[in-house]
Amino acid sequence: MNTTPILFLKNKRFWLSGPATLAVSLLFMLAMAAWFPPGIGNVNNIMMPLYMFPLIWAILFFYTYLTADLQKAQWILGALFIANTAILAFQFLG
Amino acid sequence: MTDNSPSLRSKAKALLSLHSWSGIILGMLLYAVIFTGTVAVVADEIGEWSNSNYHKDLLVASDVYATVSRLADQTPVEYLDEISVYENDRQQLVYFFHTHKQNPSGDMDEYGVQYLVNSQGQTISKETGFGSEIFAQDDTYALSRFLVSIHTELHIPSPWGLILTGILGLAMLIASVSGFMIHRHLFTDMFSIRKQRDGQPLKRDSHTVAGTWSIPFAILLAFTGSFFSFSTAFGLPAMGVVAFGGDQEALMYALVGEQQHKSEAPMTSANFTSMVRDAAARQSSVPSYLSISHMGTESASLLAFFMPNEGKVGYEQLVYDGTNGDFIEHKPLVGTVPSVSSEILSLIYPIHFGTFAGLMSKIVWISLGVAACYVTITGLQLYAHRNENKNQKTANAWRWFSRMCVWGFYGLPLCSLASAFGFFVSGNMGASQSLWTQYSFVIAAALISLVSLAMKNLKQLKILLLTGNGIFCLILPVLRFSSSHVGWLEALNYNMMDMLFIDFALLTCALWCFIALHKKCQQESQDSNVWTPTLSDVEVRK
Amino acid sequence: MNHLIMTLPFIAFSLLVIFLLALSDPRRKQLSNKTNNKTSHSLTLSPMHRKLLAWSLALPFIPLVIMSNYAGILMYAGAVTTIGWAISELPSSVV
Repeated sequence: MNTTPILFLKNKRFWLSGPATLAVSLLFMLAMAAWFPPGIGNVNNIMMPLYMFPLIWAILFFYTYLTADLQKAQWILGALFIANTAILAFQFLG
Repeated sequence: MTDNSPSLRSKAKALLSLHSWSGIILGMLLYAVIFTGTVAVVADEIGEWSNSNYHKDLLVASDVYATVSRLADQTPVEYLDEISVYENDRQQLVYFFHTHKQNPSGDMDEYGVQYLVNSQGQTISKETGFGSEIFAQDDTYALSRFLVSIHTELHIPSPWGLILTGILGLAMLIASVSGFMIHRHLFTDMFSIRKQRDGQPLKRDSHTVAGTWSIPFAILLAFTGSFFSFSTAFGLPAMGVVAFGGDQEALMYALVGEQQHKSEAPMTSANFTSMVRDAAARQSSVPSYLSISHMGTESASLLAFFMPNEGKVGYEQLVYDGTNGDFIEHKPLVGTVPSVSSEILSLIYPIHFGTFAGLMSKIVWISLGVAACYVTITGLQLYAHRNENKNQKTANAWRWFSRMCVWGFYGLPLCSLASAFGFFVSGNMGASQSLWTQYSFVIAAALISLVSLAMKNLKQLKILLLTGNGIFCLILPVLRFSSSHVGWLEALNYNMMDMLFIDFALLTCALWCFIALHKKCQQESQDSNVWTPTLSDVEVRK
Repeated sequence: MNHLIMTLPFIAFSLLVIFLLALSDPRRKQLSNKTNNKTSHSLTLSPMHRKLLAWSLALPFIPLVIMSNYAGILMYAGAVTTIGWAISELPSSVV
């Protein structure tokens, strides 16, 4: 808050809570359409990810913003990223 | 967001910094969305009011079947795919015979012929085009459509406007959750507002008290709002890519809950009028719109859409077999059978719109909106005021920020009122109301911006804008009367509650403006003038 | 509409409870005494009673849930929010 405006670009937390969280929650939403059970109505896998997106984003954002252990947060985001990319790759290629 | 060293970084401090920066950067836009959202709660009422109209329940009163059959004979056969019917705000029935195809901007849209039929059953007009285009040029809804569109996409081209409002929803989510986490004495301070020396309530206390009370609804509204924005902007198409391999039509059919390929074998349709009357009797109310699919084939069906009634919160969709007129089912909002996601969706709508119990729920939702506006306003003023006094170096920049707050907080309502003014004046002069509603808003915005830059004394600027708001609130009911000659006695006679409600709401706002004005003038005469920067000062310094 | 008229007594009840809570709020009283010595409201309630009073705001949810009047539940929650805000904003000379 009290530093010059450009300095935040060098801040790891900024990158984690900002772009990384956004990318991971978007991927999570997309991948969820592949694994979420459609149910008898056949629409749960379409609608549920859309409901969950703001929720997932908020949880990840507050977690990465407030955690003291940035290293762990980085690993968690990384793991989520890889897992969801794998699901999507399987969906499109497999 | 920038303080990284763990020794300095206490969670409370980080949260406060998050709360204030999300507010400072997006607060003004958030105010625009919340304010117009509050107005959008009564969008239907504004539609009725701006046309001095009341619903004649033509869907039930007129012979829909006879009209549909007559119009179908004049319409190219490919547009008989689907026919939507509703009563507009000028006591006419709108019959839109259409099929589905991509519009020039690449979105799935309706394309076909729209007929306007008056209460005597005569066709007044016929138009061919995309559904979205015909609706965008319809003068009936010019005012309500314009105001709602500020709320949903700030009049920024799709999908960017929707993405921006989605981000604003997330910012509101951040601000409310972090506000909740910062405040340690949530329940002890729930009622305490300290006074300043001049008797005005302390801004910080007003902000926290209003914020504390509205936290649950602020979170719900922000969450549902960002869901609406993101799912329309990119969520649904993206789901189509993942779940249906990019087949957007298949996605649409799955959501609507219909088979994609239906038998088109010719078969005479049963009487739709009696189906509509049966649906109205079952729901003991009048449907908001009808949708007739595959008319004249063996897969013909009719769907009647109802607003929630009798203690329910969800919309009701009744489906009839179009070939024999039998009632088939209460259809869920999405999909073919009831599911968790359709249940959630039928909760999201009433929670966000407040349209589940007529005017009563709308009044409550307007008050929630006013409370949220108040939290945003006091929050921004608080930061402007605090930093003006605290930080000598940046005091000047913060004075500009206060000026921007006055410009936005008083200017936006004034511009919205001016757009209504433009709607009525252009209507009286026979000009295009759709265009002049927008132009009046822009002209008012330009004038207010100029005045805000030029006027030296910030308090006088406030007084001027407040007076403007009050005067417009007084003028509009008169202007409405002069354009339609429908007075209050006649309105009472025809039970035109929606129109009366908006008239009285405007008069209440006018009264409130003048009371605030009176208080401000009293205060003004006590205070000495405080210097704030204006454009002319900057020029002099140069 | 009948279902909604049923929530009106509950809303009136919440108005009364919130009014009492504001009137007996120790912190509000302390602050108003600081600036304004003329206030002479004598309503004092023990913290226990205040807690009970506050919890009683949740009571209307029970009949509303039993009647499965979901529109009423939403209405009541919205009304409590705005009534709470409006009453806290009232000047201390009134409450």
